[in-house]
Formats: sequence, C-alpha cells, structure tokens
Amino acid sequence: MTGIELRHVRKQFGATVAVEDLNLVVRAGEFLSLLGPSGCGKTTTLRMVAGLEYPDKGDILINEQRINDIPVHRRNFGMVFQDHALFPHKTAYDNIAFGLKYRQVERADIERRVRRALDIVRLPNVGDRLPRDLSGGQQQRVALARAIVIEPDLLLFDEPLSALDANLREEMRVELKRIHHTLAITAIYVTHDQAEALSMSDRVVLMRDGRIEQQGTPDELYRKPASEFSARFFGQVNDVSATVIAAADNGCRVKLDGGPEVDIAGIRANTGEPIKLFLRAERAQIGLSFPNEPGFATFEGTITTCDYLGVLTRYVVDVAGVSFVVLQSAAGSVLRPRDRVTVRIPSDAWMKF
Amino acid sequence: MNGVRHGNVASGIAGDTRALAWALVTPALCCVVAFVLAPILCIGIYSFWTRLATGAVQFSFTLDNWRELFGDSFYMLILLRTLRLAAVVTLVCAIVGYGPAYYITLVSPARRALLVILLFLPSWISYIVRSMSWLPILGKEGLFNSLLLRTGLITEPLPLLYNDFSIYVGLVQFLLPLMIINIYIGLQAVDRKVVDAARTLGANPAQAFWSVTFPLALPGLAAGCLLVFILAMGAYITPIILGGPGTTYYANLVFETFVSHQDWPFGATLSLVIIFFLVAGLAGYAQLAGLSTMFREIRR
Amino acid sequence: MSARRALRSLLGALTLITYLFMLAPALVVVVLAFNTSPSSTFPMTGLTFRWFAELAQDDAVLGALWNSLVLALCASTLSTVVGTAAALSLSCFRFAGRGPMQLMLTVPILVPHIVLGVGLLLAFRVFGLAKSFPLLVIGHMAMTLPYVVLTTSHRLRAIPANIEEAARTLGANRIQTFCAITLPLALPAVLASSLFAFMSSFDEVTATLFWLPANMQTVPTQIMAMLQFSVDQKINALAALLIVGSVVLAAAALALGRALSVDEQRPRGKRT
Ligand SMILES: Nc1ncnc2c1ncn2[C@@H]1O[C@H](COP(=O)(O)OP(=O)(O)OP(=O)(O)O)[C@@H](O)[C@H]1O
Ligand SMILES: [Mg+2]
Repeated sequence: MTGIELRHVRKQFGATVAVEDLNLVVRAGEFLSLLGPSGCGKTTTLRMVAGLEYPDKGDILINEQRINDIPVHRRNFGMVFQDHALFPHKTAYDNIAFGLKYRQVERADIERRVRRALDIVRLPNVGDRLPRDLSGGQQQRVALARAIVIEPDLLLFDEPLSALDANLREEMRVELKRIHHTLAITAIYVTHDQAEALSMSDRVVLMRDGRIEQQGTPDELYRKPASEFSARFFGQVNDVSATVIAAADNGCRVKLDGGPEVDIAGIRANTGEPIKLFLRAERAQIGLSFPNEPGFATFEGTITTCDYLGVLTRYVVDVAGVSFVVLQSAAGSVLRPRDRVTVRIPSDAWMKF
Repeated sequence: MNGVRHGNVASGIAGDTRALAWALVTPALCCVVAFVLAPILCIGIYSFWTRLATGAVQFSFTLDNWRELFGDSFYMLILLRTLRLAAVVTLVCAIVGYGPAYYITLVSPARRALLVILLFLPSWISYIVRSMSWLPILGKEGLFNSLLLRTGLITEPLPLLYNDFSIYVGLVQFLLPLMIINIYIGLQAVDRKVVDAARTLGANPAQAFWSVTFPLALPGLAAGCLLVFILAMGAYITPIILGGPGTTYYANLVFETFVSHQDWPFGATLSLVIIFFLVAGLAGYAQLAGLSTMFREIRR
Repeated sequence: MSARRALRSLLGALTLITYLFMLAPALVVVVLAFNTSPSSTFPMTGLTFRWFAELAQDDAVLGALWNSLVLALCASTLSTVVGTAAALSLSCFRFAGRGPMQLMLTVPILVPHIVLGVGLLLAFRVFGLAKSFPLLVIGHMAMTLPYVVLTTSHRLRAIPANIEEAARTLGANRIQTFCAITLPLALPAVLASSLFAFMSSFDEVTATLFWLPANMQTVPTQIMAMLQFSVDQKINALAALLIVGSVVLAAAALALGRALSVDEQRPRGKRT
C-alpha cells in the first residue's frame, strides 16, 4: 500500500489560481475525500495527482520519491471519472481489459482478472455489452472495475456518483465503501456532496479557493469546525450577535442582541466584548414545553415559518426579535406557524470563530 | 467540464506538444496558402499588368484593365445582370428554404435524420448532371410542355429553356439545399427552452417566432445568404448549359476573357470583382454574427 | 390548436414540394436513360439498355472516366491525409492562433470555383509551370481539403477529452491512446469525408476547365464537350450512371458512419 504527499503545490490557469500552496498527506490505505464548493480546485488537485495536469510549483511524492515528472501512463493510479469516460466503441469486457493490455499481462490472466473485477463490482454478466447498452449505475461500475483491475497503487475518484439519481447514489456509496474495504487500497475521492464525504471517508479535506480550509475525520469536521466556512458547509447554521455580560474559565454568559440572556459553555470571552455566535440548526430543539435541566437554555418563542422537508422539518422561531432556524425530526410534529413554543439549546452547542 | 478538451496533459516538456501541433497543421496551411490564397494574390497582381497587342503580358503597372471594366457599359451591364441574378436567387432560396428548414426542426428525430440526409444528397451528385437534368424537363418537347399540351392548358410549347428562366430555375435548384442546410443549422442552435420561456411569458407562437427564434437563428440565414449569393455570382456551368443567346453572366465573361481572348490581365480584373464581393459579404457576416459561427455542425 | 396543425401540414407539403424540386430532376434523367427514342423527349417510347452499351464502346468517355478516377483518387487521398492531420491539430491541441487557422482552413469553401480556377492558373503562369496532371491533382486537393478539415475536426471535437485521459491513466501512452481510442472513434468521419472529397473531385468542372492539360478530358468536361454538339441519349446514360454512383457512394458513407460510429450523445441511465 502506498500513501501520497503533496508539498506546496500550486496550479494556475491563465489568471485563475486553481490551487495555491497545497500541503496534503494521504496515508496508506486511507479513504480521503476532497470536499468543497464548485471551483475550489478539487478536480485540479486530483488531476495533478493523476498526472493529467502538471503543477506549476511544489512536489507530489510517493514514498518520499518525487513523481511530478512521471507521465500519467506510468503512474499506475486508477481513476474513475464523473461521467464514467468508458470507451464507447469497446465492450465492458474490453474496457476493463484495456489497462491490462499495456501491462504485458498474459491473455488467460487478463480473462481471469477481468472476470474477477466484474464480480467485485457485482456485474458478472455484462462483459459483452457496449457502454451505451448499460444503465448509468452499471456504466459507473464498469468504470470502477476498469480502474481497479490494474491493481493501482492509488484509486482516484472525481465525483463518480454525481451523475446518478439519488437512490442509485446511495446504493453505490455502500458498494464503493465495500470495495475499498475488500481491496485495502489508498483512495482520494473528490466530491462536493458533504453527506457523501462524511459517510464514506476516513478523513475529509475541506477546500476553499484552492487552499485547504480544514482537514480531519468526518466527526471532527462536523463537531469542531475551524471556521464559519467549515461550519456552514455541513448544514444550516444560525448566527447571532451577542454581548458578553459575565466571563468565567469554562464559559460565559451573554446577552443576545435584542433577545434573552444565555449561558454558554466552552467559549472564553471578556466581559463587555461583542461576539458573534453560531449554532447548528439541528442542535436546537423546540417543543411545547421542556423540563428545566442544567446545561440547557430555554426560552419562549413563536413559530414564524415551518417547512416540511421529509425526514426533518425546518422551523423558524422568533425569540424576542431574534430568529432561530431549527431543524427537527418530523415525527409527531403538530407545530404550526404562530404556535407559542419553547426553544431549548444545549449550552455547549454554541460556536465562536 | 465535459466535452472541453484540455490537451495540455502533463508531458514534462510543453514545447513538445506545440511542435507536434504545428507539424500536423502546417501541410494543410501550406496548401491553402500556396494553392488558394497566393493565387488570389496573383489575381490581384495580374489585374495591374499590361496586355500587349500581341497578346503577351508585360509586367508593367497599368490601370487600363480597371478603366476598361468601369468604362465599358457592356461589362457593367453584365455585372449588374449577374448581381440581379444572385440577389433574386438568394431571395428566392431564403424565402422558399425557410419553411422546409423550420419544418425539419419540428418532426421526429427519425424523420429529421432522413430529411437532413436527403438535403445533403444533392451535394454528392454532379453539379453538371443536376444542371442538365432540366434539359429534358423544360425543353420544347420536355416533360413540362408535353404534360401541359396533353392537358390542353396550352396549345403552343412554352419557351422554358435556354433563357433566363431556366437559368434561374437551375441555380435555385443548385443552391437551395445549401440555403436550407444553413438555415436549419441556425435554427438548431436556438435553445428550445428560450422559445418556451417566451411562450410562458405570454407570446403567441408567431410572436415567439419573430421575437426569439428568428433573431437567434439569423446567423444561419445570413451564412446561407452569403454562400448562395457568392456561388450564384460565380456560377459558370448553369448559364452555359441552361442559357441561350444573350444570357451571358459574369463567370462566362471571365471564362471567355481567359480562354477565348487569352486576355489574362483583364480576366484577372474581372475575377477580382467576385473576390471583392466575397470579402464584402464576409465582412458583413462577421459584423452580424461573428465568423466563428460560420462553420457549425449539424446536431442530429 | 388545430390552426397550428394545419400550418404544420402546410409546411410539410411545402417541404415535400421543395424536396421534389431539388431531387426529382435527377430521377427524370435516370428514367430517360432507358428511353428508346434517340432524343431525350417525352413521352417515353420504350425501354432499352442500348445507350449504356454504346457508352461502353465510347473510347473518349472511357478515357475520361479513367482520368477522373485517377484524379479523384489522388486528390482525395492527399486531402484526406493532409486534412486529417490538420483536424487533429486543431481539435486536440490548444495553441495560439488556432482560431484564425481554423477559419483560414475552412473559408476556401466559400470561394467560387471560377476564382479558384483563375487564381491557380495565374499562379502556375507566374512560376512558369505548364498545365499538367499533377497540377490538376494539386488544385483538386486544395479544393477538397476544407471539407475534410471541417468534418473531421467536428467529429474529433465531439470525443470527450476524458475518454483519452482515462486511457492514459490506464497505462496507454500518447501514441497508444491515439491508436486505440482517438483513431477508431474518428475513423467514420475520416472515411466519410474522404469519400466526399473523392466525389467532389470527380464531379468538379468549372475550375477543371481552367487547369486541364490540352487533349485531356475528365468525365464532367467530357459531358460539357458532348453537350456542345447535341443532347444525345448517351449523355443521359452517362448522367444516370453518375447519379447512381453518387447515391451509392453517399449511402456507403452514411452506412460507414452508422456502422463505425458509436454515438456518445445517446441518453444514458435509467435503463436497467
Ligand atoms: N483547463 C482549465 N483551464 C482554465 N481554467 C481551469 C481549467 N481547469 C480548471 N480551471 C479553473 O480552475 C478552478 C478550479 O477548478 P476545478 O475544476 O479544480 O474545480 P472543482 O473544485 O473541481 O469544481 P467542481 O465542483 O465544479 O468540479 C476553476 O476556477 C476553474 O474554472
Ligand atoms: Mg470538479
């Protein structure tokens, strides 16, 4: 198994800087996601790793060896493209066998390995079909088989599921994860879908404007965002201006602008200081009443809007002039606009950057 | 990003690919320069050279050829006749061709493919054969006249052949497919959603057509008109085969000047006028639609 | 709504008439070639193969046919090779000046053949070259080149770049990728455009009249010469053969394209 390292990598297209001073270590066997909004440089980074783009500056290393100058076809990295990029004039079998032909694999061996790859992606019977006679999911599986059959040192994915519909995407996620497990291979996975990144990866690298904004396990990124950008990238976030009215070692008490006073755990600030606080919509709860418990702040409010989203319902609650967005499981919800409700917020749910 | 060709795949040596690109394109470039552009330049040069009474060409500068062209009403008359021919043929092709081109966009994909194929078919058939095919149709004892005589609509055969009428008919037949193809390409480039948007905003079908489809498809029509006009101006075979006495057009004049009179400098001068119209037409088109829209492909 | 349908039917009828106008005259010639009457007049008097038999005896026609075949073969081969190379360059590489170059290679389509004929003839003259068969080939190559460049580069551009990139990540180098992926995908367009180049060279007459060496004829110039004397039935037979040949060749080009091309644009997904 191989890890890969990027040091001070930079890539510019004309006037746009696509990737700037990127430092990244992908550990052997790891499934790492590159996540970020459109145009942040994920694809460019991946293409530089693949050798399809040449970095303007910096080094790409495998086992401390610089590989910048090794051409694409000698790198032995499997790549799965967004729109599968199957060869339209070759059958599924020949598509998969393509890479083996350039590796001096014997014919009998090719046959065996292609069959095995088709088994791994669970498509044993489509070998003789042309790509156009396969469904979208099957096409993507063949593309995956084509990438893994060469036993690559590194598997690269560029939004491989984004062209599939929601159900198929879900199913393929599980498949991909399973195959990654089976093969125990290092993988870099580009996506702009945060759910995909969180559910599949060992580690997530969040990118912004060609730089790394934050990296860590999915849990770290969700629970301990390092910036407002990171926080906002994983779901809906409330932001509230407040003034500190009392400070302590392990927290403080603030007065929300135009609203009630709240105790906050884990944030240090000086008395009198104006601060901006953030709160994930799903950490707040609403209900008709809550028992008084330590570690929670409760205040009364009025529901102004209520959007039914399926599993969840999004409420906007007005608390003495401050609007809170609250995401809550829809089960048994009978709450409607203009209902008087209680909002409950754990004191450790607040974030400050 | 799909479909955008990157090309600059990391190679280590960027100059490598550039050299290859140039190496591949250079032969074609040389051909066009040497066998099309340089010859046109030669035409320009020749038109300022002197033809001696002996018929030999002397390489000395003169404006006589141009004076003769503009001074002699004979030439001007033929030029004007030819311009009228080209203009009328262009107009007829545009008017007659728009309907079918629009119709092709309406029908089912299978039928559309068939109609497009049939549209290209004439360009595979010899121009000369297509022109002479009117002879047995328009002749005194041709298909038309014999049908009309049979039905008793006429008692005398109509003079349909070897005159301006047959030339116009032959040219329209020759150029109409090109016009339809170009209009169709233009129409195809119009995003259907934009037209639908116009409809949802309250335009009736006719209003949507005139305010959205037609202007957006204009480059296609313009390209068709340019092509048809220039080709009609330079048409030599049609007047030769379908024309009669007194139906000399510009290209015939050019041919006569070269082949019969062997007056090369004056022939060059005459040819340069066609090039002038071509360049003017191209400039007009570039103003209207930009040259890059000129050679678009049919999406089936 | 029914007014719309009526309008559509009207357009359909207009289209039918227009297509008949463009294509039917050629059919008339084919039919007439079998007419027993020695002049091409209506009504038909009977069916015969006589004119084709006479044509097969006509040495002038056979000679012209041979000349045209050799000429068209040489010219289309050259323009296919040169044009395909140019198309590759224009669609597979990005380099400064690519746009103007593309324009320059395709704009000759607009130049009337009479101008091309005059121009090249004068250029020959300037360099003291006599009319000859090789110069005829050169002229025809230059004339058909833009069609090859245009068709082939359109096709090449329709090949998604990431297909070639995929081949490279799988271990094929640039040349192997070209041979295994690019070429097979572009081949239909290359073959179709070379067939078209062949046909246009075979049929070209206006410029050919300027370039033809003395006492040499191609099929179209031979027809021109025959037309000067009389419109006899042999010409109809020859024309009929040309029409049938053209249609067959066009159909072959079409079938080639269909058989070899793999349509990328077909909607995918959703079918299981
Ligand atoms: N070949 C290219 N030529 C010019 N600019 C490019 C090229 N490739 C990428 N860029 C630019 O570089 C920036 C980063 O692009 P990149 O494709 O890496 O983004 P991305 O994160 O993959 O976005 P997406 O989620 O939309 O795929 C963008 O601004 C893009 O326009
Ligand atoms: Mg991308």
